[in-house]
Amino acid sequence: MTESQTPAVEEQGTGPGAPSSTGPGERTEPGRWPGSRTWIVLGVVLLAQLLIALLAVLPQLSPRVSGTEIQLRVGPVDPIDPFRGAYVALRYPDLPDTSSIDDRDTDERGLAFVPLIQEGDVWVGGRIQRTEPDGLYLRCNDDDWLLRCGIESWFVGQSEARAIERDMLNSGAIATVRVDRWGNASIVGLEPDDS
Amino acid sequence: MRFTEAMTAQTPAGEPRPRQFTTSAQRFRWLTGELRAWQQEGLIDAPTAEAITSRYAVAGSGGVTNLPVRVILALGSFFVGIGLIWLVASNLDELSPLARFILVVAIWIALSVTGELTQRLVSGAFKLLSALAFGAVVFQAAQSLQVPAYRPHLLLAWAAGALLYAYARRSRGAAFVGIPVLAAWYVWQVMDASANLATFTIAVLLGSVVAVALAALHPQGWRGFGRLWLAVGAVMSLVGVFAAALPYGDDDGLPWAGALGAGVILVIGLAAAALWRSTKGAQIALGVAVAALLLGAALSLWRPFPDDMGMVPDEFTFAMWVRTGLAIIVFLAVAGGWAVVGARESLPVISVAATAGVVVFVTFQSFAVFAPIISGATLFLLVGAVMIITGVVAERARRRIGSEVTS
Repeated sequence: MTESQTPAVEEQGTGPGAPSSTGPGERTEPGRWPGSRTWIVLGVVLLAQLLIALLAVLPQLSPRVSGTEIQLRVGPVDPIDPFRGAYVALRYPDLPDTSSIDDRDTDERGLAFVPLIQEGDVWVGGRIQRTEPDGLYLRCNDDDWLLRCGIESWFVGQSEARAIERDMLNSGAIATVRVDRWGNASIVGLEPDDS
Repeated sequence: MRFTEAMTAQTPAGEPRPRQFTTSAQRFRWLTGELRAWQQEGLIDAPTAEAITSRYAVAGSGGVTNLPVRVILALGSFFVGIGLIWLVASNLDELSPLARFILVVAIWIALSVTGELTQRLVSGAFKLLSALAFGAVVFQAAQSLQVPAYRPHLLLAWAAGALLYAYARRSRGAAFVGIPVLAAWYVWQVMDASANLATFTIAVLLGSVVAVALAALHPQGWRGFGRLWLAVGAVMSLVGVFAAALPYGDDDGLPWAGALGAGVILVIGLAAAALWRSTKGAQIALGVAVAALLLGAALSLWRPFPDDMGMVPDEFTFAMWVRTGLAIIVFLAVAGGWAVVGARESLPVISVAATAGVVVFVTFQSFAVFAPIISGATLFLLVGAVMIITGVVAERARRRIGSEVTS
C-alpha cells in the first residue's frame, strides 16, 4: 500500500498542510497530558454520540420506560443478524396480515396503526388504520410484505434461540410487550404458551 | 532576480520551526537532484537548498510515517473492533442486557480516552478503534432493547457518531470507519425503500456526486478526509453505473420521483459550490461523477426490455442491442474516468476499484447477455483489444505532445 492508502491510523498533522491532531492552537507533545480543552471536546463528543445511539433505539426505549404491558400470541422463525447475532424472528397471528385485503382499509401503504383489543389474557389487533386510533394501539409500517411494529425479533444466545424455536413449534408462545402512548412497542419477554 | 534574494535559508528568530513533511523516496531523490542542479546554476545557495531539504523526510526512514507499523496497527484495530462487534452478536447470556450495554460503553470510553493519551500512530489506531467500538455500542443498545433485526438506521447512527468523532478529533482513522459505514447505510436504505432498479440507480449516483462534491469542498488542511470521500464517491459511482447497465425492465415508471428531484437540487447546489472553490483535479473528479450520473440516469430510464423477458438474444430488438452496447461503452468510459482520477490524485484504491469493476462488469455482461451469441472469452478478447488499442493511441498522443512541448 502507498502513503495515500493507509489513512487509517495516522492522524492529521503529519502530511502537507495538515492541522494539529489536537485542534487549533493546541498541540500535544510526547509525554504531555492533554489540556482541559481536549477533555471537554472529547466529553461533549462522546455524550453526543451516546445520544445518537439512544435516539436510534428510542422507539424501543420509550415503551420500556413509560409503556403499558400487554401479552400477544406469537409464532417463531429462526435466523441470524450478522451484526447482532442469533435471534428468534416472531410473527403475530393475532395482528393483521398485510397481504390480506380483509385486514386493510385501503390500498395505501406506509405508516399503519393497529388498534389493540383485549381478549381474555392476550391482546389482539384490529384492522390497519391510517390515522391514530383511540386507546392502546401499535405504530407500524406496512411498506413491505410484512407488517413491522418494532417487535419482530427476540435476540438471545444461539443455543437458546434454537431451544425457543423448538418449544414454540410444539406449544406456541406468548410475548410480553410494552406499548407507550404513541404506539411504540418493545418486546420484554417471551414465554411458552401454557394455555 | 535570484531566489536567494527572495528566499532566506534562516528561520527568522521567534518564528516556529517549519513543519516537516513526509514524501516518497522517489520524490525526495527528485527534489534533492533538482536542488543540486539549481545550486550549481547559482539560482540558490547551499543554506537555502539545505533548508528546503530539511523540510522533507522520506516515509519509513525514521520520519513521522512508518508504513509497516501503520499497516499492522490498522489491521490490529480492525480485528479488535470487529471482534468487539462480534462479541455483541454472541449475546453473552451471563450478563444482563443492561450490564452488557454498560460494559460495551465502558470499553468504548476507555478506547476514546486512550486515543487522547497516546501519540501519533498509536493514537490514530485507538481513535479508529473508538469509531468501531461506537458501532458495538449502537448494536448493543439495539440488542438490549430488542430492536428488530436488519434495521438500516442503526448503521446511520453508527456512521453519524463515528463521523462526529472523526471531525471533532480530526481523526482520519475514525473517518475511515464513518464514511464507508455512511455509504453502506445509504445504499442499504435506498435498496430497502426503493421500488425499482431505476430509482436505486439514480439514488446511488446522486449519492456519489454528493460524496465527490463534499471531497472537493474540504479545505487543504482536511485533504485526508476529502480523499476518503472521493474514494467512496468513486465506488458508489461505479456501483450506480453497473446497476444502470443491467439489462432488465421495470414497468412501474419512476417511484420516488419527488425525493429524487429534491436530491437533484441538492446535488446541483453542492456540485456548483464544489466547482466554484475546487482545484482542477477535483473538477475532473466532479466531471466524471456528474457524467456518470447523467449517463446512468439516462440508461436507467431507457429500458426497452419487457418485464417478463429473459435474456434471449433471438428476441432482442434493435433498441435492446443499441442499449446493451451503449451500456458497455458507458461503463468502460466511467471506469476509465475514475482510473484517471485515481492516478491523478495518487489514490490507487480508486484505480483498483475501477479495474476490478471493469473485470466484474465484463464477466457479468458476458454471462448475462452475450453468452448465447459470443463466448465470454470472445467478449474479454474484444474488450481487452479495444482497451489496449485505446491505451496505445493515448500513449502515442501523449509522447507527441511531450516532444512538441520540449522541442
